[in-house]
Amino acid sequence: MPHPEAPPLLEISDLHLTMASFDGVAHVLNGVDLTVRRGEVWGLVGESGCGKSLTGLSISRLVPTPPARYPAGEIRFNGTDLMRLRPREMQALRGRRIGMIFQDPTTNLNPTARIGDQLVDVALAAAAHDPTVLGPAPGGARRAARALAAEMMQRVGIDDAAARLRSYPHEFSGGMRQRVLIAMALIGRPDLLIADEPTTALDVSVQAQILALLKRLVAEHGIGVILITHNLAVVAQTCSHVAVMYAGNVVEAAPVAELIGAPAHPYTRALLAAIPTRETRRGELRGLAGSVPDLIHPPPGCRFAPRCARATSVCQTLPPLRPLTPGHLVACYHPITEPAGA
Amino acid sequence: MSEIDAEAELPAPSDGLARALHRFRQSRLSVVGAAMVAVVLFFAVFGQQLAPYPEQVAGAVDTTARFLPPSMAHPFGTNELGQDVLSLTMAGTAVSVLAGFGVVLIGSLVGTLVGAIAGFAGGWVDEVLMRLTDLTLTIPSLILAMAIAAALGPGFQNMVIAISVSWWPGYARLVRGEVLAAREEVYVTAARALGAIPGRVLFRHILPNCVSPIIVKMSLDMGFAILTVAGLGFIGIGVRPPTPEWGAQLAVAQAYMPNDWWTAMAPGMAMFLAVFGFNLLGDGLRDILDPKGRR
Amino acid sequence: MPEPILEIRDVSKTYPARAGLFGRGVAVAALRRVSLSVARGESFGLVGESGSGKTTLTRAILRLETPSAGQILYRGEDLAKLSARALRAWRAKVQIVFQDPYASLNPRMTVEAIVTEPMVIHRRAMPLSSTQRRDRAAELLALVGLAPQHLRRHPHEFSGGQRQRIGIARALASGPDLLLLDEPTSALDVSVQAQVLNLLIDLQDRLGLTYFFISHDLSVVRYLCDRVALIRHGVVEEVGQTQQIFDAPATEYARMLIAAAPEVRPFTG
Repeated sequence: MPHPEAPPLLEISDLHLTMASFDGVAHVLNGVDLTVRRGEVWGLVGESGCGKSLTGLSISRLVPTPPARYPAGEIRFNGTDLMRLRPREMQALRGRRIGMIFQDPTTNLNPTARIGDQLVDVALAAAAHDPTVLGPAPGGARRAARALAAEMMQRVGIDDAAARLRSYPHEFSGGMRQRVLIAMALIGRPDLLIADEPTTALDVSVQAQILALLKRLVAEHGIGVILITHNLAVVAQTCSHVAVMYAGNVVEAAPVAELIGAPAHPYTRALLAAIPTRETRRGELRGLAGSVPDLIHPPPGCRFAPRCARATSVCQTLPPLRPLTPGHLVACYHPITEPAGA
Repeated sequence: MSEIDAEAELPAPSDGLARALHRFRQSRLSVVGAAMVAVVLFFAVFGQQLAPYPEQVAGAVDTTARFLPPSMAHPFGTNELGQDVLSLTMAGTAVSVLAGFGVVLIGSLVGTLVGAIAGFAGGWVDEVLMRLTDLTLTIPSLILAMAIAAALGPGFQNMVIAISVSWWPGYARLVRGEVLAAREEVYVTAARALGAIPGRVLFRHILPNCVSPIIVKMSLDMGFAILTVAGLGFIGIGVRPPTPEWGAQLAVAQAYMPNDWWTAMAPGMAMFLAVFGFNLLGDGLRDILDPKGRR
Repeated sequence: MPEPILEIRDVSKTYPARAGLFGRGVAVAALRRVSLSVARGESFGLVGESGSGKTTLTRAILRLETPSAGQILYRGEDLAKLSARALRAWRAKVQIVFQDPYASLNPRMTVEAIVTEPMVIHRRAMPLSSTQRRDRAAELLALVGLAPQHLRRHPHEFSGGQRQRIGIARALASGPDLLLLDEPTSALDVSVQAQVLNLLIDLQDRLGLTYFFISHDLSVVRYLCDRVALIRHGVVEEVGQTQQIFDAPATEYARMLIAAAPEVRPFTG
């Protein structure tokens, strides 16, 4: 369970990111704030182009610069500002203290190498930075790494792990491959796991298993997780907290039950109203009129204002992300406080 | 009709051309290539008129001025007949470029047709057409062209036909691959589900989406076609003298090497310029039209 | 129940074994004796996970593939017995909207060419002049929430939701009775998905269309469909009224699918 008094594992503050292209400079992250503590599973949700994936990639410093540029902002991880690290130092952190899982489990495994060898390589690379990953290795590092690989495979729910180490990726189903990638991401015992749409390519039954696995691993390892997804239902099923992004800003952040039970930002409300639930009657679904703003010439102030029924002249300045109630942050001058459905 | 107002905004008008130009300009070399091609094309059109000694282009000789080294009057010297090398080279551009273009055009048309039918029909039609293509590929192209030129007799037209015959298989293979890939596109399934007849599916939906790699290949091939034309001229089965042609010029010049080296300079550099220019241009076009085909 | 518009009787589809590099492969049974009946004017949902055979069934209904066994009847007429010409004419009546709005529109054609093409193909049944075709294309665009100015644009100039609307306009152009909707919203953002789903409901009410809705998203199926069939490994596991299947699933598979589907429910307390 989250410990609110513990120092944050990750603290992103006022992160700005611009992308240069033929059409001009797009302001794709416009002051993102996000705080993650150990044991928390944060869902980072939003529609395409809202900047959720770029936020995740920025934490691992995997956004190529140029065309990207970071005009302002801090990403504090265990107290160090990642924006100030040299590439070498970041390289040591990435994959070890910060694990990543991506959407497509096929392209992230080498099809010509055995699963076991790929896991062993990752384990050895991690051990090069931190020998305690392998522990005492009486039979040599390679043997210890192999044992660790088998153990990780077991942990992510792959039966007969020792034998399956000899398999090739193509012998595994999509769900199994995603499990291998999770094992790979966790082998260096990271403090933070970033999962970018890890189940989007999978069937619902497999998705449910993978999400349950993620939840279990968080409890076991006490790590922090950022689950990037477009699917609020997945967040509701898995996460402890949610941050909703719109056009480069976090517009609302709260514990899951709070956000879904009492969404305060008009955009969050619109997003929830667009998802059919078992109570939604035919024709009752509410779409969201208008379209996502052009990030090269974004509207001044609140970027949701042009589509917002509650917008007034104050919305011409950017609303800060501030607490509505303790733990429930909203970036809106006119948050909705009456309960949902009213 | 409550809330169907969609994302009703009009999308911004397409500036595809400006975007393509921008991408093309990103690469210095393609701009250099385009400039070289522009120079070559300019001389192909105006070379004959601009030649300093037009009467020699038509075949006049000046035996008093044989083998003059480069000077102000003859920047690239004169040849064994006392003709201005620069004038002949300028005038020869037309033949080389026209023949090269003819070869690429005929080759791509025939090849596209063969490849498209093979890829689209599949089955035994594909087998027969592709084996025929492979067979043509096994014959060395210059020898095939020589044989054909020998059978049809020398001359511009026959030379173009002869080279084209060995040129189309490359396009057939390329287009067949493209058609096989495009055949699986969802919009092609959509057209079939609409009841479109095969001809419509092929010519409206599949082929227009295969055009980019064909154009890129045509541009890359232009240089090689010009080289092949010159090759046939070099061995004496191209256009007949006195029509100036780079290959024939070089063939004569090589007999007087290395003493009278200048006779080979102008036609050699012209060929270099043409081949290199078209290749750079082709690479640039590929970046714009067919980015996934790079390397 | 009103008369069935589409009947699928004992349809099987087996892909023959393909000889691989090392010995022969195994024959794959994509569909095994599938029987379904879709009534006129209803929304029928077909739910299955990847590899369940829903794509094969869709292709079989569209006659892009021939079943190995069984019959598919449209208004009581066996599609296998139609002549090539009759089959082409029949295609005007059964149309499809595809999943991926980025792949389903020919990038080289203008919106006008895309939306008028069905009218050109079926000009025998719809004798229209080119001006009339253009007018009808403009009407169709208005029907799906786009403007006539969009006619001269190319697909790449539109957002995913707008492209899907163009795909729907194309599907409607030949005046179909039955629309196959192959996961039409799964590539779209939720707010856009909601718009497209509402558009589909509105079109059905206005034009009296029958929908055959293929999806893996149970919440969308529950929202849109009157009846549902669950398919797994080429076998129909359960068919029934949507409400009934969600409230009281009869098979293990249905229970598993419903339990696994993530859902947004306001938390109490």
